[in-house]
Amino acid sequence: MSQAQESDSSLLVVVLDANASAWAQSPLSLDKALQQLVIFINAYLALNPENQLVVLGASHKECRYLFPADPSSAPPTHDIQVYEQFRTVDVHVLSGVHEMLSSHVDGNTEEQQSLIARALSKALCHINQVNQLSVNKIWSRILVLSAGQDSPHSYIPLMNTIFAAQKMSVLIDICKVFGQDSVFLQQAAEITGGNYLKVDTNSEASLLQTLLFICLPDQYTRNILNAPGNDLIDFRATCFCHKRVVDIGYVCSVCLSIFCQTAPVCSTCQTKFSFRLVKSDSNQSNSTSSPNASAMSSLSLKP
Amino acid sequence: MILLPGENIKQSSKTAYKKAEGTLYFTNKRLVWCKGDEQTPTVELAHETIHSPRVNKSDTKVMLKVITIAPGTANEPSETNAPVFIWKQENKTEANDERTKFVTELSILSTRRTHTASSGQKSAAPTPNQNTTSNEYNKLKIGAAPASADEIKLRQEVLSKNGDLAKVHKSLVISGLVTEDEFWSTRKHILETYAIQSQLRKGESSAWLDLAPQNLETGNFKYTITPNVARHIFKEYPQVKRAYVDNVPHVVSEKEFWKRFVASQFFNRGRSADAVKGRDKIFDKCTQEEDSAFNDTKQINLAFLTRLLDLTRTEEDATETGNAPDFTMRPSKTDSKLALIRRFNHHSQLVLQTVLNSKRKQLASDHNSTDKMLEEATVLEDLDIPQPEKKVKLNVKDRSRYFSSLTADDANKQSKKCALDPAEVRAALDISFDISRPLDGCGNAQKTMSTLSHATHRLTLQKRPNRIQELQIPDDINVA
Repeated sequence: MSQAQESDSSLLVVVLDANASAWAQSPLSLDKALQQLVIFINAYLALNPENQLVVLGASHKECRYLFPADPSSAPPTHDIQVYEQFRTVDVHVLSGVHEMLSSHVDGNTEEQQSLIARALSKALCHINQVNQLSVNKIWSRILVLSAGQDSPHSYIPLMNTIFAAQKMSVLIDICKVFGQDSVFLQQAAEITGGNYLKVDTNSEASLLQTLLFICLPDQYTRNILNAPGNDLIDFRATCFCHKRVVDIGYVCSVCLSIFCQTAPVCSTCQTKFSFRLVKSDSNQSNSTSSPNASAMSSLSLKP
Repeated sequence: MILLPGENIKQSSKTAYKKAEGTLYFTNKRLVWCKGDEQTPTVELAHETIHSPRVNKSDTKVMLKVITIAPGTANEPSETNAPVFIWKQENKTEANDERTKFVTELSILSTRRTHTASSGQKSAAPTPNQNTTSNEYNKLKIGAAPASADEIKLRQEVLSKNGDLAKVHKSLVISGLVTEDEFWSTRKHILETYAIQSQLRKGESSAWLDLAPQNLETGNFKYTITPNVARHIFKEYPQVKRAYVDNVPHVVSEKEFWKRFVASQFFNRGRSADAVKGRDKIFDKCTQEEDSAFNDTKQINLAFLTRLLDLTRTEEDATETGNAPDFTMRPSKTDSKLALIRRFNHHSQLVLQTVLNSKRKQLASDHNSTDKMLEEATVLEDLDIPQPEKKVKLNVKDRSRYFSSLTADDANKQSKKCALDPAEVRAALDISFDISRPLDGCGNAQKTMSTLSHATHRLTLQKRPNRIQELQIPDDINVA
C-alpha cells in the first residue's frame, strides 16, 4: 500500500446513529448535536475541493443514505446567505434525519441498539465502489457518531466489517456521544487504526471541538500528528455465568465458553464434564467426536 | 600299548617312523605310534589335532604324512609337526592297502572337522544355523521390568558376543555405578537387533548344481552324490524325483539308480556335445517330461498377474503397414543347447519363487485386495457416492452469550427503567435550526481542548518520550 500524499483526496463516510430512544435521553440534544455535526461536515468539505462525503443514518430499524440523497427528492430552495455546496449537504442531512425519526412512534427504551453493522457494511461497499471507479488514489475513513448500545447479536457481522476495513486500510473513528463504552466499537477503532473518543456531554465537553481536533485530519496528516489514544480498552474475557472479567478460568473444550468456576455441565453446549482437573502444564483438548468432554482445561490470559 | 579308558583300536599296522620300526595304531580317540614293542607311545596325536592325511604318489615308497593343527584354532595347519610314517612291507599292494585304511580313517576325521569348523564359523556370524543352540527370542518383550529369564539369557549372549560392550558392562555394572536394568534400558536397541537376528534363517543355496566328476587315478569318474546333492537334484528336476520315488527301491537299488542317472542321456544332455549314451527306460521318460514342460510356452500362470502391465505394447509387429512379422527373437527348434538354456531359465525361476512365494502367500491370504495396483489405478474415489459423515452436532443454546460483555450486563439494568413519555421523546428529537445562522454554543470548547491535548501529550510521552523533550514544547501552548 502506497503512502498517503498531501495532495490526495479523501472520502469520509459519516455514520450517524439516529436511535430515537438513545438521543431522547442524551444530555446533548439531537438538535445541537446535528448543528455541530453539520459544521464539522462543512469544514471537512472546505479542506479540499476533491473531498467526498457520504452520510448514512442508522436507527433501530433501518439504515439509509442521508447524503447523497435520493435524486427523486425535491431540490432544496435557494438561499443566498449560505454557500451553495454546503447548503445542499446540510439540507439533505437534516431532512433525512427528520424523516427517519418521524417514523418512530413508541418510546421503547429497550431498543437502544442501532444497526451499526449494517451501516458499516454499506459504507464499505460504497468505498469499494468508489475505489473501483476512480483513477486517483482516494483515502477513505469512516466516522461513527454513536449514541446507543451495541447489540451482541450483530457481533459477528460487525467484526467482519472491521476486518474488511482493516484490509482496505479504512480508518474508523468512533465518537461516543452518549451511553456506555462499547467494547465492539473500541475494538473497531483499535484494529483499523482510528480513534475512539468519548464526548462527556454531562460535563459540557464540546462535540464540535472533539470532531475538529481529532477527526478532521486525513490519513496523510495523521501520520504527523499525535492523537489521544484510548489505552483503557479492555480485551479481557468475561465469564459466561456472571459476566465478570476473568484472568484465569475454566474453558469448555467443546464449545470454548469461559467459566470462572467449575460446573458439572457446560451451560452452553450441555457437555458433561468428568472431573479430572489437569495441572497448568498440560494442554488436553479432546476431539469433538463425542459429546462427553473428559477434561476441562485451564485458561490463563495476560491482561 | 596301553589304552585309555573307553578307547579301542580300530586300525593297526607296522610302520617305520624316523627310521625306527614300530606299530601305528588308530583308535577312537587318537593316533598313536609305538616304537618296537614299547607300551608308551612315541607319537601321540589326539583326534582334535589331526588335520588331514597326505599320501605320496610313488609306488616304491608307501608313506603317510599326517598334518596336524593346534586344537581349537582355525584351519591353519602347522607344517612343523607333521609326522611321516613309512610302510616297509615287501608287498607293495599290501602296504598300500594298509595305508589306505589309515587314510580312510583320517579322512573321515578331517571331514568331520571341516563340518564342525564350518558350522562353528557360521554360528559366530550373525546368522546362526538351525542346529545351533541359540535361543529363539521372537516372542520376547524387551524392557519388561523385572527382567524375565529369557531376557537375562539374551543379555548374556549379547555380552559374550560383543567385547566392547562387555568391557563397558563390567566397568559400570559390576563396579556398582549403574544398575543392570538401567544399563540395559538405554541399550534396548542392541537387545532388539540381536533378538531379531537370532530368528533369521539362512535360506537355501541358489547356486546352480554342477555335478562334476572327480577324476580318480585309474581313469574312473567318480560322482559324489550325497543326500544334500540328491535333494538339490530333486528340487531342480522334479521328474527325477518322481522317477526315484517310483523305482527305488523295488525296481532298482539306489546306487543303481544314481549310476544310471549319471550315465543317462538326460543328465548329459547339455554337458557335452555328443549325447549319444544309449537309451535308458527311466530317464528317457524324464527327458520327455522335461521337454514337454519346457517347450510348452502357451501356459501362463494366471494367479499373480499384474494387470496393469501390458507387455504386448512393445511389440513392433505392425502388420497393417505391410511389414512381415519379426522372426529374430524366436527359439530355434533344432538347437542342441536349447534344453540347457531352458533349464537355466527354469532354475532362475525356481530361485525367484522362493522369495515370491512368501509374498504370494501374504497376498492370497488377504482376499480383499487381489491387485492393489489395479484398484488404485481404476477406482476413482471422487466418483463414489458421497457418504454422509457421521458427526456429532455442537449444541449451543444461546449464542449471544459469547458476544455479550460487561456493557451488556449494565444495559440490562438500564432497560428496567420505565418507558419514556412519547411526547417528551418527540420534543427532544425536534430538529429546528437554521443553517444560515451561526452556531449558538457548543459546550466548553476550551476545556475539551485541554483534556484532549493532555491525553495526547501523556500518550506520546509514553511512546516517544525523547521527541517531546527534544522539541521542548512549553506546557501552556494549548491556550488559544
